Amino acid sequence: MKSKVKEPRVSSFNLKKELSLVPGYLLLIAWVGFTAIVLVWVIAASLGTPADIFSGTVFEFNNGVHPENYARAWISSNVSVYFMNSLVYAVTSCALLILISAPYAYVLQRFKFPGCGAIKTALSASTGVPTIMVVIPLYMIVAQLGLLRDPTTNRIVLIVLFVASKIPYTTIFLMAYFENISRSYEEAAAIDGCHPIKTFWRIVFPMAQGGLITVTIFNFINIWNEYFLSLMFVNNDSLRPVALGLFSMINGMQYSGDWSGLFASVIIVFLPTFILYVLLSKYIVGGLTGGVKG
Amino acid sequence: MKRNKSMIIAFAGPATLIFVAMFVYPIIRTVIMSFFSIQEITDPISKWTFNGFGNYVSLMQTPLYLTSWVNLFKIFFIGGVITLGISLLMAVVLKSGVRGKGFFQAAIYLPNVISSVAMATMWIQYVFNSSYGFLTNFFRTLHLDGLASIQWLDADHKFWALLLSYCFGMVGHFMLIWVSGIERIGQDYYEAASIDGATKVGQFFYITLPLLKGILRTNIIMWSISVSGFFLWSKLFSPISADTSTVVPMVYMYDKLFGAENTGDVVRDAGSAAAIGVMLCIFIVVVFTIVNRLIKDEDLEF
Amino acid sequence: MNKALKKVGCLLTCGALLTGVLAGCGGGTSSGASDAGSTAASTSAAPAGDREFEGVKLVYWSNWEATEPQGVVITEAVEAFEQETGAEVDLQFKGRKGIKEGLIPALDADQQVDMFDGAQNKSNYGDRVMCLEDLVAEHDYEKDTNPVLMELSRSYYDDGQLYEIPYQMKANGYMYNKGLFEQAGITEVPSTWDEFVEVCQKLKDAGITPLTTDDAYAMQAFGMHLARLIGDEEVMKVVNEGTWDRPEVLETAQAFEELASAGYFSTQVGSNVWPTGQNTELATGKAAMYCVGTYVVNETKNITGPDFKWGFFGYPELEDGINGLEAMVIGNQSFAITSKCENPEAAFALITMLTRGEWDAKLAEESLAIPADVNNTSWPEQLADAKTYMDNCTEIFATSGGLENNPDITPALKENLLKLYAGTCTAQEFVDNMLAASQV
Repeated sequence: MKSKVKEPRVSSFNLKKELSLVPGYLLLIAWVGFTAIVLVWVIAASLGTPADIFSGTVFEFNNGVHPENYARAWISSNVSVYFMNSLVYAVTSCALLILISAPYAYVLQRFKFPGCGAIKTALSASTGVPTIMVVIPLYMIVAQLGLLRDPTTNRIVLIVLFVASKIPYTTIFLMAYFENISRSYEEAAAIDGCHPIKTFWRIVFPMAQGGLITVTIFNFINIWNEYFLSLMFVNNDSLRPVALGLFSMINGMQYSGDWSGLFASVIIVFLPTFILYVLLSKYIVGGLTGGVKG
Repeated sequence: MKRNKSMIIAFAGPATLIFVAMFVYPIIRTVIMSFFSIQEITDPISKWTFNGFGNYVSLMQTPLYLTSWVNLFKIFFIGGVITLGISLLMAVVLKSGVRGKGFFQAAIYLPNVISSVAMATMWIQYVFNSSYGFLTNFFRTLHLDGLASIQWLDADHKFWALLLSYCFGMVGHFMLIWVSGIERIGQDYYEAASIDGATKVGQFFYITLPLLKGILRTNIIMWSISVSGFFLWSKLFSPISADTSTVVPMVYMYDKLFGAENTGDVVRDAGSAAAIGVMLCIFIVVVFTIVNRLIKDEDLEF
Repeated sequence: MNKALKKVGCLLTCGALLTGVLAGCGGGTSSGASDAGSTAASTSAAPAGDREFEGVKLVYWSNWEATEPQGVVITEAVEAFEQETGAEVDLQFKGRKGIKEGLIPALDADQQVDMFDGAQNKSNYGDRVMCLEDLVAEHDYEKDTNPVLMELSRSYYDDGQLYEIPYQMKANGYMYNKGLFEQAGITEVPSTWDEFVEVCQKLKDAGITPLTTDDAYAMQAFGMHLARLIGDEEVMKVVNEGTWDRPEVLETAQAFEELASAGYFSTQVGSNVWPTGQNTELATGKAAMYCVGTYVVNETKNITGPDFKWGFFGYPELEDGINGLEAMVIGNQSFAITSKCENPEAAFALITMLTRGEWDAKLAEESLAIPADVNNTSWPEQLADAKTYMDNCTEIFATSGGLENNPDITPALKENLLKLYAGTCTAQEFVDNMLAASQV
């Protein structure tokens, strides 16, 4: 395993090597330092008052610390229900997306078959079409079919839409990863008489782990923050995802001037995606280079 | 080969079906709509009146619409170079063996996870504020009074302020893609190169870059996708009504589709909106084609 | 509310409910009970206890958010309505975006939406909204709303009929900080341009920034000035036909150039992206005047705190102007009933309840807005000044005096106005830039 070879090398101190890294460190520290200032500002703003935000004294807390901003944002009604909804939508959709798009990207990248070029172009073209133009005509059909009247079908419709709307992006994204995976493994497997479908799931799929996780993070964040689709298709309060509720509140808070409440809601929306990211990023950093190739 | 065929059908079939069901009807409808005068996107066909290329022609004669494309191209090219360049640099630095890689990576990506509404508000109210803002204070501390007195959000600087803040957020996103691409390269190449005495810079140009071709292509396409959908940031930098320096086609389309604010009579024009949608779509296809031509599919064996 | 409901009761019940009507005149909190009483008897000959809209289900899409003051009051009012009338109301807070983007598709897809609210002028809904003339006449609703506003509401539609019920009025003019005026020794608000300039000078002498604005509202002052000179119809012609070379445009630009060169505008004005100016300069007491709508009071209440003394005066009259303080920008939110609504009577009863008497007063009070019912004289103290101007208003201008009528030119206009205010371009340059921007 490569990671095992790598570990001791990184942790042993080598002055010459460390010196050569100084510019890199400086860059990273400056960048992360700025990000930190910015984030601390957002967090401070969420605990302060609008008066502080707009007098430029966010960090001074002249008017005290106001954790109740969070309470106000949280109380906005069934946030816990919305949270569960979002989780169900995002997790199911991300899983389905990988199951559908990974093989799709693989065959599109690896094989030439009739219509393959057309599909690729269509996929990329569809990412250029503004969501609104796609969503509203679909809504007309779905609503007229009466699919939004029953909560269960409504839920299924939502997940199907989340999945379908992200297929082009996910597929295009993953094609690049399969491109970078050598064909020699498949050839070897073919010689061993392994069925190509099996070869894909057993050998190629695990090798694309990095891309799969990265794209899942993007998809998860996108679906978690999705606004327009849910706005149109959610016809029942108990099906609302958290973003719809909290983003509505953000919009409302702008008009009623509750800017610190706005920042508090932002942090509430942001936390789950952040936690997910921290958890998954370990996998990315961890064992990608190892495993299959070792 | 027969086995491959069954796999292609099994793998491509369901996805293509879902894709077609979701996108093909709306896209065809949008294309057809763009040739008609239509008020509402939901109007039945009986209310459509044929207009030929009328929507396109009148759009192309509107200075503001042309400006929106100029802005889009500026964001695409200048922002693209900045974002893809810096994010690649970050990725390479991260992979060069620095300590705390996981932390740095997470920290740089962080702004992406926060809602753009909050990020843009932060930039506008804090970083760019010309009386107590971060930049003003920062330059004042350094006694760079010329820079400190810049009004970052006035007509002359607003575009650059917008671009800067947008790119700042996007760097993390693309860095992550680069990193996962570099991870795939495998340490043995670098080890071999180090033994051969190649410098870090040399390693970058002779190993990293060529092997990242596929990722570069993806990144350019991903960048054009994000840019063509550029909407929220523009809206946040010019709330209520559009702004010459920040208007982009999506904003223009939105105002056509749902009516601009404060105009008295709300004029909705779904036909023109569809035409804009078609042009954005063509933009992506053109980028996609050019990128695929320039960065050829080569079998990268590694 | 009382009078209107009394009428409702009378018409529906033909006198069988004298007690209910009498209770209806009681006013105050008792009006709720009276409504129940009057409506109870109204359901044909049904025995008391059977409420008027028992079994009726209404779907109401609101453009507010549940957490906004308006949303909170509407939620309470709807609960009271359900109790009184027995109707079931599915109240959904869709937000401004939700209404703007989602309502027409929902209506066209036959989803049930009986009534909705939102910004004034719903003419773009076409035949999706119901004509309300009959309901208004039947319930003698009209007499308690400012007649100019009813006229305005009708003016949006080609047939001159009423399709929306106004509420949450707003007026535009100069919102100012009374504390700062006192500090500068100003005792009277300006009503002419000369007085206005004088006020600016006094403020400046007292070390106070007289004027500020934000990009989003930059058009309001200039538009009003130009409309004072030529009227809003002509202003619309200027923006739509690109006739920026009219001498009045230059004259207006020169007026602002003078304000800028005298140093009356905030130094930040060129870079104010909404809400920076209103929040960091006006609400924090750094700048004294801002040409905007009365809604700014509600938008900044978390910053100003309760002690901030708001003042309002109409856009000053000009020496060579063709109109005066009687012409101003007044706007409102409005309610509409959709044409597919099966129970317009119930929907109208709910609208009546929200725009009359107790609930109207509460809505105005909580959201610091202007009540719809002319009998509601208790205006929020912050807006008291605006009342005189609104009561005397006889001509309503389009937003910004018509200057924002062409969304294709607004961006260029905004940019050049901010430059003009910031003193980075001259009046002549402004005119030239606008001429260039209008050229195809």
